[in-house]
Amino acid sequence: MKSVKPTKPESLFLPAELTPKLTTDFINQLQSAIGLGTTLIRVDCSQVENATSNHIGILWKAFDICRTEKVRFVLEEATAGLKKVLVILDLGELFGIDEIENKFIPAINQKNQLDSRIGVFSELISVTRNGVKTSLDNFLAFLREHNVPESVEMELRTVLYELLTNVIDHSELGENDNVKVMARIEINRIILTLEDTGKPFDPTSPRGPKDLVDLTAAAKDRQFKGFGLMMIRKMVDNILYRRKEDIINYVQIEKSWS
Amino acid sequence: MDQSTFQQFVLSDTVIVIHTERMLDNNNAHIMAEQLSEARKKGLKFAIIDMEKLDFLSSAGVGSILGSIEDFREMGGDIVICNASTTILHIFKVLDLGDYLKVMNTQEEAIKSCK
Repeated sequence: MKSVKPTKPESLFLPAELTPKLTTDFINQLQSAIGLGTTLIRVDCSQVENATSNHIGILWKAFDICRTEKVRFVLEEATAGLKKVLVILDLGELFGIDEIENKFIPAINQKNQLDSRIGVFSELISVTRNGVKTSLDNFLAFLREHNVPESVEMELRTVLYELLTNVIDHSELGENDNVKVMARIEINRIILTLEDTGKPFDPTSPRGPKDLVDLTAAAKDRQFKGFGLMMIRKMVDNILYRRKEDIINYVQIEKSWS
Repeated sequence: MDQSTFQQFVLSDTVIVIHTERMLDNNNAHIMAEQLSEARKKGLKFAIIDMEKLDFLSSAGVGSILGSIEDFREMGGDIVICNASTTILHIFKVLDLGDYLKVMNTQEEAIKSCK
């Protein structure tokens, strides 16, 4: 297997087989190239004959990073196999794949099957216990519609509940205020974001004692400050907080599953 | 939904069974904590928490159980979980509580384990 090693700072190679390490390396190299000031990222896809959900996931993530950083993103030498999957997922135009061959179109059943694993959720809820309940119910329906595994579904509900509860408890917002909840399911991955205009509250910073590393220790010490945040951190792959424009708390979590 | 108490049954001089509702969260976790505390004050060494109805557990819910567990253990007893669904068990596992909590499949097994 070829390793992920760009020939130039702005050129990345997408391996035929993606291990977790190669995936991490790929994203690290992308971010490093962007950090060096490149305005164009080229991804060599020539070896990806059999595109998997991991390939689509990493391309989507790379595309998303480039879009956020205002860096141009171009796929090069995409194989027929990769093009086929991108077209089926209606991502062809997004990734600059304009060769829609007729043979790809009849795969309607496969398209439906794959589409069920991609979706967007967005709603504005009131900062109340009822608002939380409504959001949890709607979010659960969204997760089920997109066939998220039950165990992951439970973790995501818990994470959303804890994040919304934090807004109620710490934001100093009232029932006339709102929280914006958005989620995007890609293939076997979700990005969940919350935005509120309350008092700054960073859920990524530890609240408990420094030595409170797990829940068993918490129980033994009878020390439960920061317990919900600890749970969130155990259930997601990444959590990010930004104070946007000095008025918005922006929290983003990412979680993948197999 | 607010509630007054969780349904509970004292089985013997040492064992009490408390049944959760569908949710154990910020709205009712303090009630669970109070019932466990009352049981301990009455000298009951074992509290069985029957989770048959439970399908959602928040940090406050977990905290209500963990907050009392060491007190029961210091008395030579324990808190025993039973009838938890696979998703609730998954949450315990994710939180690395699998080895810390005493979990039995059925209430009968939980009662037998209270010795």
